[in-house]
Amino acid sequence: MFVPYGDAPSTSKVLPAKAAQRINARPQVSVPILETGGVSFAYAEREVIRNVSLTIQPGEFIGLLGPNGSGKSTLLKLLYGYLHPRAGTVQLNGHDLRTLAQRAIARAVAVVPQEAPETFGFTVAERVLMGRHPFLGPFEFETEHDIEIAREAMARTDTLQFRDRTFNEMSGGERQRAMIASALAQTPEVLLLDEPTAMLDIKYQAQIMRLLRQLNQERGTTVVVAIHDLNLAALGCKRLVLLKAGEIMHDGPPAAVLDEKLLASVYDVKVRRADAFLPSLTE
Amino acid sequence: MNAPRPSNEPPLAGIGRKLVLPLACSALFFVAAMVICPCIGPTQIDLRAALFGPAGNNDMLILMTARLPRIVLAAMAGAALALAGVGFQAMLRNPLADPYTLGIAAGGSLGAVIAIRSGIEATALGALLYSVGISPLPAAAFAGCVLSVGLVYFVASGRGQLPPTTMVLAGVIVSFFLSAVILFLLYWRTDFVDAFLIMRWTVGSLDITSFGPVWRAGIFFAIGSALLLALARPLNLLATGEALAHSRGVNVRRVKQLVFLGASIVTAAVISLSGPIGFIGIIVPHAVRMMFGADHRLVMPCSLFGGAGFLVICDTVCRTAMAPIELPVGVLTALLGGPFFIWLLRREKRQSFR
Repeated sequence: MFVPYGDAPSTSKVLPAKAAQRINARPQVSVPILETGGVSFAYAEREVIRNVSLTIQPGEFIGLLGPNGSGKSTLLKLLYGYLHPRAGTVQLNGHDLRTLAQRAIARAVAVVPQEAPETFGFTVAERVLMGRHPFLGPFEFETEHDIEIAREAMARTDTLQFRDRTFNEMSGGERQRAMIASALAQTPEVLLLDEPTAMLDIKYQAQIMRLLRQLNQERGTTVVVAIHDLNLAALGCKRLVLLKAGEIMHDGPPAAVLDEKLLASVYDVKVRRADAFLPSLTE
Repeated sequence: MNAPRPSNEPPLAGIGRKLVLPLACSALFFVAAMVICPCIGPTQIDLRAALFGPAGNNDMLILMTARLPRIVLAAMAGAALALAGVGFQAMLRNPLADPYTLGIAAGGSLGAVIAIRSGIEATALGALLYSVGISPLPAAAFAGCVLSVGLVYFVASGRGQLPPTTMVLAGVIVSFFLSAVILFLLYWRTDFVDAFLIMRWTVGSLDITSFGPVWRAGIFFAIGSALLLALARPLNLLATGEALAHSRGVNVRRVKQLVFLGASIVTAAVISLSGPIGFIGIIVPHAVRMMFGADHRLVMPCSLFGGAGFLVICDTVCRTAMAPIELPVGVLTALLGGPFFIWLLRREKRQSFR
């Protein structure tokens, strides 16, 4: 049932000579869309990310796994430049994030946070249109084009019927879909999600994962999702990265990462594989 | 990606279209208040004589000294406080924040109180200020605002990204401390004339009889308002969360600094003349949000007009309701604002349990 590893669609771009040279070190054909090289990060004195090197190719669907506090969220924040590494670099399409304007990063990378607080009663349509921010000038209003993109993002996530609702009037799953719609309005190359299914019941968990997989397959959107649920991760992701105490313990296809011994050592709890009970994402 | 478009689905509205009606309504409210309120007062005036009569006639005198400067100040103060309220609420992601949350009111009052107790108007410094056309008391209040805001910023910026909780805590602590200093100065050698003056600078009042100070404060008001209005869209994103705003290309720290600056400038401009007038900064933005929605590109200009009109009306009531006794306008706004605030709190609670 696991998707075989290594089938990331290779967007065959003609690479500049320098980029090609740099990449020749690895047996890969395209520039990694996101790449961390020896990244470390600490909050004050507490080191949460230790020497993480991760290469993400366009079109990949990666699950970040690991116990609470293993650094999943922090790693995501490093990937879109909300936090800056203490050591090492993060590159987007071959450019160091530090050299890029935040707007430029926002045009390529969209983020879905774990939960979005309701404070002032923005409607779903307003929130989704906010995804167009990095494409608008300082005093520009959204154009018909922006509105059309937002409408499509809402149609894609089946949230058009909630357009005039505020988050107070919606369930957790509906909110999460609206947040994904808002991120899609950013027309991103990469979608970063921080535990999008943590607050949801099984039905919505499967729904969200199915949506992400569709986006990944149909639009080639690169997806990186921090996720708690091992089974869900195995179902959706093509590649799993297992973190413990800020270090990558294992990186590979789900079949290899979801190993009983490996998981037992990372989570300090005995797990048993029972493939027969895994639900399917297809309805 | 090409989901079929249901035929009966109304198109999504962009902000441009949504802006027209609310803006027209609030502007009309403002204009109506500005036209009607100067005609109302304890003395009946003949408007035709006041506007077109011979120079220096009684009606004109009443209109141009007792009423209009005061009404223009009320409009500016209402607009500034409502706009600053919107800015602080969005920046701190706290619907109960107001222009004074970060301690600026206590700073302004303390500045005025120090000026009163030191008798600065009679000193050489006071004479010097007067000679360049600046009244010492408003100048001292303005300086007090700047110092208290600087202090709060200094405390909050020690923690990197200006975290909202730290800012609010710093503001509350600075407020309490400065208020204690005001009370200390009030009780230290009690003087009834001073005490009366000090009360005026802690409750807020719009008693003013010439345009000069209003224009001077107006410059600061214009700069601060322009800054805040320009930040409307980034503030939308900031209100939905800092990490999210950052991920969409908002320079979070810069926007916070500019909102802090803009809101402080307009508030200081107002406080330096009127003293702190309460609750406008909460009532008006929330009323606007309830009527027209949450988008700051709409909430900000509507609050500007709404706040101006509302305070002009409040002040007119204060001038006339108990004439010849004049009620400080801050008392009326607080009388209206208190119940409104409680209602708002109960409403917030109900929503969060939904």
